[in-house]
Amino acid sequence: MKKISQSRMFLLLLPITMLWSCQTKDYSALVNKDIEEFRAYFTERFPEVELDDFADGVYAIDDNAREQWLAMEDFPPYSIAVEEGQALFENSFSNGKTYTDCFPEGGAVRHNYPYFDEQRNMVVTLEMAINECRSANGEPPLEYKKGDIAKISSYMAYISRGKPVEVKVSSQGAYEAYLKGKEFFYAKRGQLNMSCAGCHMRYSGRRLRSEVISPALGHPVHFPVFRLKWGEIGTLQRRYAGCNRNIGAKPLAIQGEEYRNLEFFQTVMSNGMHFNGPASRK
Amino acid sequence: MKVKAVAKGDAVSVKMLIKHPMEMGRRKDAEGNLIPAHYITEVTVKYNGEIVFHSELGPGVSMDPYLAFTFDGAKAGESISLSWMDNKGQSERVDAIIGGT
Amino acid sequence: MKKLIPWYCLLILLLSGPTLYAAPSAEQLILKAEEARKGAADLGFEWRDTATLIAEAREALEKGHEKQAAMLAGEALRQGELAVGQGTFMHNHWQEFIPVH
Repeated sequence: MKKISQSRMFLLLLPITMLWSCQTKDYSALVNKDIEEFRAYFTERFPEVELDDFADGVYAIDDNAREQWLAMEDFPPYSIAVEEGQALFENSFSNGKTYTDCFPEGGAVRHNYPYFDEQRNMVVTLEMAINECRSANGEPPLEYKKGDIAKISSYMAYISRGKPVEVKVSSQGAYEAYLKGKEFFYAKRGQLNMSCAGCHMRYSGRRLRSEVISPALGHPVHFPVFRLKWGEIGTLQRRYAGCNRNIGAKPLAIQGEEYRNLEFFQTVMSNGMHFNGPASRK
Repeated sequence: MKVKAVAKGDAVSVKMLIKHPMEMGRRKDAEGNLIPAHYITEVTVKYNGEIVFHSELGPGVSMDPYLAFTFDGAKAGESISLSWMDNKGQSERVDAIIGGT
Repeated sequence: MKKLIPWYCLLILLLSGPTLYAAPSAEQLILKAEEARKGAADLGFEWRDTATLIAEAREALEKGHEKQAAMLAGEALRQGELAVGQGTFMHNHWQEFIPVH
């Protein structure tokens, strides 16, 4: 048998290794570059605000609003929702199991969401996971925007306070979902032809009628939120629907692919911050 | 009803969050029927038998009202009594101990 | 000798213009508007009020208000067309709208 020379072996293996290295793109590096640029936009625009303080939204950039909010934080309006959420969380299903059978650490796992499920090739959010836990145990799913699901989510968020935001984008599938969320964030839509970025980046800190617009950095980190306008606790995707309606676009399906990808993108942009939900907002 | 009463020097700061639907009676449900009015009519706080706070609320106040006030003459460790009544005759009474120094 | 087109033929031709080219009826506009709305929805860019306008147009048509129905359907159609244009353009150009610091 003829022996293959070393140089021949090298030439044989070269195209294979080149092909192989093309497949394993460093998605994390691409995403981290986006995060750096996104963060820099806001740290330049609001130089006095620390990274983690961006989680306080408008209260990090408007002193008057901050004073009022701090006074409220002494006795926050979401405290009732957190208590009710705890009761719901600890209540067992008809089959005897509880949410702790689906969520470890007594439910203090807010920081594990959203994540990209490789098997199902989709983004999974906390609210979706709560309903999947219910279906797995023979319980009917909860309505996604408000009510019980928001209360359970607020309890889980409350006991997960301080946990780091570290969403991973390490596969092609995850990166594609991330890009779709990114596209949604920057594309103008609706009759008013506005984008998330148009208000929450370019107009952040400025006024929309009487209100100051919050920066997008850290947006998903403080949800679910007791919004004074709603008079109750609600989820992030409820706000997406409301915002879309405000700009003359028909809201897309709550927990549908588009909103889940958007939540994925937004949470990735907040990587490095810490969860501080639930929160109260105007 | 959640209460937080804290003494700061001479004054006692009292905050309360009352869980109540505060239905004004003019909203309609999905079938078009009027949802009956159900709102707190008054809130009273007493210290040593004396009324230190009295508020008459009505249908204009939103769900789960939050009220805060300060009064003097009390010290940490003493107790205050808070109660509310609504238009359906329901009521709740809570006794709270003043915290702080 | 070449036969010229008789004058009465020309007259008939001129007067039949409006019937040969007729402005789309309210019904046709409603169908077109629904198509456009669906196109926008498929892109994920449907506007908020388009479906309401089409429903209102249908209602108006049922009541016999042709002109009103046509106007509403026409507006819905325009919304749908703009939304499709918006969606197509944004899908290809969203990167150009990323704010730079």
